[in-house]
Amino acid sequence: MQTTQRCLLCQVKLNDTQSLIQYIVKDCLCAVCRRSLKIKRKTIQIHDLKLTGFYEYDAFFSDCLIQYKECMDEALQDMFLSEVKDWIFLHYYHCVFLCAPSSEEALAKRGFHHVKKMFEQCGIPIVECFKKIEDVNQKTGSLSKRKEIAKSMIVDETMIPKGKKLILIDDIATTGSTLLAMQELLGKDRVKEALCTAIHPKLLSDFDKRRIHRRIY
Amino acid sequence: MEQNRCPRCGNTDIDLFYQGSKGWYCRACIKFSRVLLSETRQENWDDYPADLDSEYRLNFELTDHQKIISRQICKQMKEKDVLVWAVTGAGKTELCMEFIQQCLNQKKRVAIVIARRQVVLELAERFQQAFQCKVIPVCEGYTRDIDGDLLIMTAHQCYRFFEKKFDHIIVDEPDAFPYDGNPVLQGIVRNSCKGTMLYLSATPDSKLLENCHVLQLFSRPHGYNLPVPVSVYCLPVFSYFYVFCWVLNRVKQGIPFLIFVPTIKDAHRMTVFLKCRFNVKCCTSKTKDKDGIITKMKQKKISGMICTTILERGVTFEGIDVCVWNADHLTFSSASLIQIAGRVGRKASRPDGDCLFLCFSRSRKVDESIQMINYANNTKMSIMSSETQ
Repeated sequence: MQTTQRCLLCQVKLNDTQSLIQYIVKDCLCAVCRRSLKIKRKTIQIHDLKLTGFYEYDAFFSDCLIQYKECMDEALQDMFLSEVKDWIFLHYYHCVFLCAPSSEEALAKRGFHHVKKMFEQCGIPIVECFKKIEDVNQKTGSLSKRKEIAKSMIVDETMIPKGKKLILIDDIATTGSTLLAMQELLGKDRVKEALCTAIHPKLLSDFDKRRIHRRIY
Repeated sequence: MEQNRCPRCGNTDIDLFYQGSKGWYCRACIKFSRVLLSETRQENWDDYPADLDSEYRLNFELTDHQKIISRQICKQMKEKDVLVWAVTGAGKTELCMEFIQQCLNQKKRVAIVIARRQVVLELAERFQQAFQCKVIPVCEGYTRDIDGDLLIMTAHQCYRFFEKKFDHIIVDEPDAFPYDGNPVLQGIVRNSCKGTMLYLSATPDSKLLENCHVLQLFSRPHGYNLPVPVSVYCLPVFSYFYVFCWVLNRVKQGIPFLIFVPTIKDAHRMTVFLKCRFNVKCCTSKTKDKDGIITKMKQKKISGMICTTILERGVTFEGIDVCVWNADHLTFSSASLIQIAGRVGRKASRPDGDCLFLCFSRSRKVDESIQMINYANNTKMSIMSSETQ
């Protein structure tokens, strides 16, 4: 990967626009963009899955994610999680990350696995054992949809290393359906924790109102 | 790197190229989705309809000046990019209709690029009335159907056509935000065109004047001169009182008015001050019901409006007077002051009107804009190319 002298988001020259700490850690964003990307680590329990998100899901974060995923801007891979990668390594160095699946079509179009690329910098082994066999609309988190998502993916057990703690990873948890479906495929006893870059405010508010536990499935 | 130029926006700055899994791509125009530098595919347009009635029809006749410029556009566009430098309200849209008709006759693809979405929709309607062919607006909310004989779109939408390419592109108001000073948008528009381009502007920059054949039209269809602004210098503390008296005069005579202020904060302050005595509304980029307020103004349900530069172009109110408060402020360039002055006297029913530049200090921009309007009033029409300048 090449180094860049410009901010990855606003493309201003980095020399005069970074703080001293950013300069020392060789941050790829300018001070303004870095400030706009707000860290807000939140951990919630969705049924049997402990889910941790690291950033606040606001308009700025959403725009960054769209640029990364939809506009296929691979350069942004190191921008996410760069401030929390050491924290992730310290907490999960003994684990294996299991990557949320991406459809074959999207993968071929992008040329890279967006979730894997995001978490690669943390230094934890990542396994792509899940595969999507059909695309399902994940906008709703109802029981029927969740079951559909579980049906739409398969898991390759041979790829999962034995004797390591398994952690699920995804880019964003909107309803948690994908992560719950992945947990269901592997078995609830084997996977109890998941990480994502951000948790959607809707899911957080559901959790805050304690509606999440009342969801019938 | 296969080539060091973006096929879509034309960027050549290597700092803005990145090598991803699929190869090098340009990050300058990444907001329009990834384009690999190696992508040089050229798609063809669908077959052109054989029997196309391309003749345009207007409800009025063009003036002699307009006819001359219109013919010159058709002639000069064969050789080089053309800039039509016409005053506000000179009928720039009608000037390019003959050229469009010629392109459609020759089965050439032509597009009109405009800065603002609202103007795209308005202009599409006007062109559809003038032409029998299929006129398609392409802007936010209108992107499903992009296959027509004449496309009218915002500059951002040009990214869809860098593979197909138009024979000619007409850029309306290249000096307006967001096209002005945005090399990515300018590159995308340039790369969507394989032939020459036509620029329509009232306030062109020096770059355009250098690189194009320039056709000047400084008279409005009604034949009257542009109202020359009057600059008044006063202390800020007295400026509110001056504006109050100016508004009182307009209200007594029943003349609608616009007061331009440099910032949103100033707009709110001025509105609070005037609202206690007059029926006025405020219109800024933050105002929710902009269209509703503009309609009320057009229907003369309110006496006047206080606005920021958001209304400096693209809006026509009949028989209004204009005041620019703090005209020497950084927000107002000489181009924007000319545009603001151009709101006055657009209709034949009241071809004159007052334009007041209220300044707190002497400003070169204000002087330049007044000089430019005087120059336009003295020139009327001329045809020149970059070689003769």
